[in-house]
Amino acid sequence: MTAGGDGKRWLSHVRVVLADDHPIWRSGVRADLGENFRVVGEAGDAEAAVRVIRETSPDLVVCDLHMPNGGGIRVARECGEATTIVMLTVSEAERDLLDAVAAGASGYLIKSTPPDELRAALWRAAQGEPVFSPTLASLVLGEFRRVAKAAGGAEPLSDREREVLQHVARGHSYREIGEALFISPKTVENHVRNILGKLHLNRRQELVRYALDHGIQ
Amino acid sequence: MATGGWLRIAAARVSPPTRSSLLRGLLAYRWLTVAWAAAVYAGVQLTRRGQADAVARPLVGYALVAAAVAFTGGLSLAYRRHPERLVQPVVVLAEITLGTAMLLADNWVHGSIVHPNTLPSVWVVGAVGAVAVAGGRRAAVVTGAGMGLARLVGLLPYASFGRAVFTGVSTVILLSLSGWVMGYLLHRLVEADRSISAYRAREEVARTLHDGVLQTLAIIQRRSADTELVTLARSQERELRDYLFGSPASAAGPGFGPGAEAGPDAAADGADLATGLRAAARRAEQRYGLDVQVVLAPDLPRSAPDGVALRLAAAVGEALTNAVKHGSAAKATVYAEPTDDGGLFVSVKDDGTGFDPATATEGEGLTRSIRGRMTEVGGQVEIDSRPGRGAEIRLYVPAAQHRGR
Repeated sequence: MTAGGDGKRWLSHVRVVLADDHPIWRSGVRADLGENFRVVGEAGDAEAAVRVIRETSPDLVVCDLHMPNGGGIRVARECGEATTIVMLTVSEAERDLLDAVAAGASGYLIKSTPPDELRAALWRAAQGEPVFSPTLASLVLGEFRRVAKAAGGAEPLSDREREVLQHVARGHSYREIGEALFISPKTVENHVRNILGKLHLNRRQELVRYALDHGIQ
Repeated sequence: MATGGWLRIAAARVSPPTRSSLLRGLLAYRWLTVAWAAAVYAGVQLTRRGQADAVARPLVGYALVAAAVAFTGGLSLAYRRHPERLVQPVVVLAEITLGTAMLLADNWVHGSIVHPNTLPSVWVVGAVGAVAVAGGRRAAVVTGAGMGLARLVGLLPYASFGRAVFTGVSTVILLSLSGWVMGYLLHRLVEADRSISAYRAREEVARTLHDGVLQTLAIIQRRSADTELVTLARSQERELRDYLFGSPASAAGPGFGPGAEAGPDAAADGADLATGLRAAARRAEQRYGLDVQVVLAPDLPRSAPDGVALRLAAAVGEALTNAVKHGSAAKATVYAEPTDDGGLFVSVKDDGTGFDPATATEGEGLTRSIRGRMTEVGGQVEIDSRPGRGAEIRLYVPAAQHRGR
């Protein structure tokens, strides 16, 4: 799901691939990234993005959710195991975000995020930290409440994981969560990573069940 | 072939799933009616054998009924391979011909005008239905009338003119009327199909447009140095976003989450919870320039009883005011979710200077009025802060209150 054995990588500068179908947006993000990031490739659609990512093996992919030829979901599905993908999106539609994260993205950022916050969030993402916004956390919590109610062996969140996720939804940083729950920020991150893993698993099971129910081979 | 031309043009109008279910329905109808026609004919032929009103040409009758059964079987096979074959002009014309032939031959076969059913019985309505699907209302009416006339012509040698006309005309009316009804229903189906697909197309365009507008507003916020313009773009973006992705209840869909359990009565007489919280956030943004993010659980109930929704919104508004006035906060997050026991949880977290809850007197009035509002609806307030770490105000409303009465 996220790259790196223990989830942490220390990088002097981050090699980034930008994928967005609007050139003006790519140039804007490139200008905002600053000197800690180096853009090693750009793409205007999902197909090109997958190709560029395979050619350049970047540390981080910043990817629009809605692009031609399959969108960010396709990029996450095909490259999510090998590299860290952050979705940059205008859409906060529930299904879009859950699909993106379930497909293998490490998180998402809204396009109107101010430049300094964007930079900070992308830097943390490149170090292996899942970029979980409060909105995404609340959607994921709702999703787990939903699968808990629907019968079928979906893996539920542990009490601690739920607590962590609820803190993120309430707007706490990982450091604040660690202080509130008397655990290290690193443990908080591990919880978030496990939550993502469960979400991924439940989604896949649900897809299989759906396919079986509807007779899709 | 001119007929083939207009048949095919008219046929292209109903959506494929609607068409194939219609064709499947007509097929089932044909099987039922052909079985009925065969049973009645066999019954009449067997019971009247050797009597004065015996069937005059039994073998021809059996051959025609067998042809109708075989034709129906052929249609079933064709449907399995390709449903559209059922409305190909050649197939439809063949069915009309067979049906017409059976109606024409009916009295010649029976030899007597008194028998319970015509040879094909109402199986011929299947052909009229096929014409309705393939060619529309007018063609179906014409076909039905034509087949009714065949019945009239077949009767003439055996019955008095008046009786032949009377029976023939009622068959004409029956068949052309069923053609008209089926054609009319199809016409309405086509219209419904068309407006659904037009609506979908418009929705798709709207989605693309909305994405474009959001994107443009985001670019303005990043690239412009004009703070007023940036503020305007931001508030416009919020409003559009609220409108597009806003209602958590609609995102959750019916029958899922405590919102659904709270039931229609909660939705009917309650106030909109999400709107109230968002309005409080927007007021704080406009008044103090505070950057407020509103995070609502996807399964948050759409509404709460008036008293609860209003008090929660007012308490959130006061918490935000407090954050600015006493904590000098620049950003805040408002979060709301349903609790496991069916109640509501709302939190307001800011990035202000924070305070020591044990010693702080500043803002006491405000927190007292927040507590007061929550007590009125049986709720609770928790305040959590430390110097330098911002503040969080947490509100709980239990299920009994939130469900009202």
